[in-house]
Amino acid sequence: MTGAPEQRNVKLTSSEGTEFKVERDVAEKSVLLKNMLEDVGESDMAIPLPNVTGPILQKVIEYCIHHRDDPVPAHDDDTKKTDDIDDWDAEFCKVDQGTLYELILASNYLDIKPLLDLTCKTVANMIKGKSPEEIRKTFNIANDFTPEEEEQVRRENEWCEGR
Amino acid sequence: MSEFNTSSPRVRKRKGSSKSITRSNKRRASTIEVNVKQEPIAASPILSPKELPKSIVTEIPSPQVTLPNDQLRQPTRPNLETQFNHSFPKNFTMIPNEIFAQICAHLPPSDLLSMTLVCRKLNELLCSLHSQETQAIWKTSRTRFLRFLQLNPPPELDEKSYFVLRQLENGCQFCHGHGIGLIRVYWEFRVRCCESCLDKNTMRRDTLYIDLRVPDEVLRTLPRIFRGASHVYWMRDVDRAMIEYNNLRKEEIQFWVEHKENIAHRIMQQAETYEQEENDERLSKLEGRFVAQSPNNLPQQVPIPQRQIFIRQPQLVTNPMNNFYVINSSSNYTTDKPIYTSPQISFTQPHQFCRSKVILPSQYVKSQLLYSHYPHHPQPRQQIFPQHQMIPAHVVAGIPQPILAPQPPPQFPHLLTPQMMSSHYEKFGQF
Repeated sequence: MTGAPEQRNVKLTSSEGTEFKVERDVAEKSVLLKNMLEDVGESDMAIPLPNVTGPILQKVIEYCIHHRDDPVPAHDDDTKKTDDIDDWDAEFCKVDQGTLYELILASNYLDIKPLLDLTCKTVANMIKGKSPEEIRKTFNIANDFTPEEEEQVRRENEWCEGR
Repeated sequence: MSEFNTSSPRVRKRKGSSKSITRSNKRRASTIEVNVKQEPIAASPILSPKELPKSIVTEIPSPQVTLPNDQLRQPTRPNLETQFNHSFPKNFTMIPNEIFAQICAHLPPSDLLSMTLVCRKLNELLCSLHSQETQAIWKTSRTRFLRFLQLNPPPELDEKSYFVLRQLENGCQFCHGHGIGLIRVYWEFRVRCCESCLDKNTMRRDTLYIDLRVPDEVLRTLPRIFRGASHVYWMRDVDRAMIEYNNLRKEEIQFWVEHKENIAHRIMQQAETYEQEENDERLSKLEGRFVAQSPNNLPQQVPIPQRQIFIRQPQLVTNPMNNFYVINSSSNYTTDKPIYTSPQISFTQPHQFCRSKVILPSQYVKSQLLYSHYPHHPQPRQQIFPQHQMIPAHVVAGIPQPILAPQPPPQFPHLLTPQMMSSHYEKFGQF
């Protein structure tokens, strides 16, 4: 679009002010940055990303570098199954839950669809096939139902409309 | 302070008939873009950026956009993400709702159901009947994971109850698996039950109308099914409707009846399509079982009951020992290849060709599969040999099958034409 040399570096600044230099095609994995770069054109100025912390941004860049050559996914990728996470991605997602949520938020903010899908799938896989008690344990959630309420919900789930 | 080299792309965009898609997509506008918007069209639109040498483009004075300015603007912008800027979720329940919906898109409805029991927050997110978001979560999960639940829920039924209702594997919702008879969803009544529970909970129209004096107006507003030579109604539906009816003022009755009648009509009209989907699921389960049991275990070559048309070739009239040709209804024409030689069906008299001997209507096959545990399920005609019912797909695929040894021609006197009989037969009644 700009006719400028493609492989120029782009500077990104995390919320703490840490600066990251990435190549342009890596940065363009993020739709947000891609649009931004298209709109602004070439610039030496760092792009501030106040919603993303340094460690998370580093993780995101790591992901983008690994997937820099991936083709742009087709528009209707709804048929994808949840368990087709490749080994590198699975290893990438082996982080604590707090980091995982931050990664989700960052990928949502930066608009990196494959990363968002990957992280959401990872969380979904932590839920899949578990009983409510196991889910509570996994995510450290307190059960704030009264026994009556819980019984009520359980009945609703088995019986339709309490008929 | 560095200057933004904005002119070149901007000029082109302004010249375009509409704003580019990339910009309209970007609701979370970048700071830079916000500033660019204020920019006066610096470059003359007559000049195309392609014609401009790079040096000229860079010389066009760009507006005073500075980084500190950007940072000042940042926090004030109303933006979903900024809310979470300083409070990153440490707990699953603190995840923003839109992300929660994204995660749920990867979960089948059964897991969503167990999530409703985890805590109040999740229950609220997944069980609010009138929230569009909740319904969308269930719908995404349902259409993605349940092959046989693709129809939208019937009128006045939310997504979650729809799924709960259709859990066929849970058995009858009243007697919990001790049901008698076929367990199925009665979509008219929104219940999943066995036949004995259905009989316990329904009442015939004449009983309601004559003995219990339920007015016709009320009965008209209720969905009903035809069973045992009479319309039957779900008793709790009747109770509920009677309470509503008695609380109405006279002038409201007309409207109420019309409204309810309309809903009931739609429910009954659509019930059949839902039944169809339900039966499809049952059939596919049965087929799955069949695949598991078959010794060869050829998953793709299992004969799927579908309408198959057997075409009798013209020469069949003169040559009764025939080849059968098959046309699959899914448009795989294989007419040029004789597939199945049937030595057992031999027509001594061509005009006696009996279609029902050869063609088995598909509903028989279905009912056989569905009601196979019933002692009195509809039986196809006795004369059909099992190997004539269907031409299995693996035969179509060309795998050799043992062809049965040809039987001797029929010896029974009643199949002989009068011309073939001797006059002794008429005389003595025997050979």
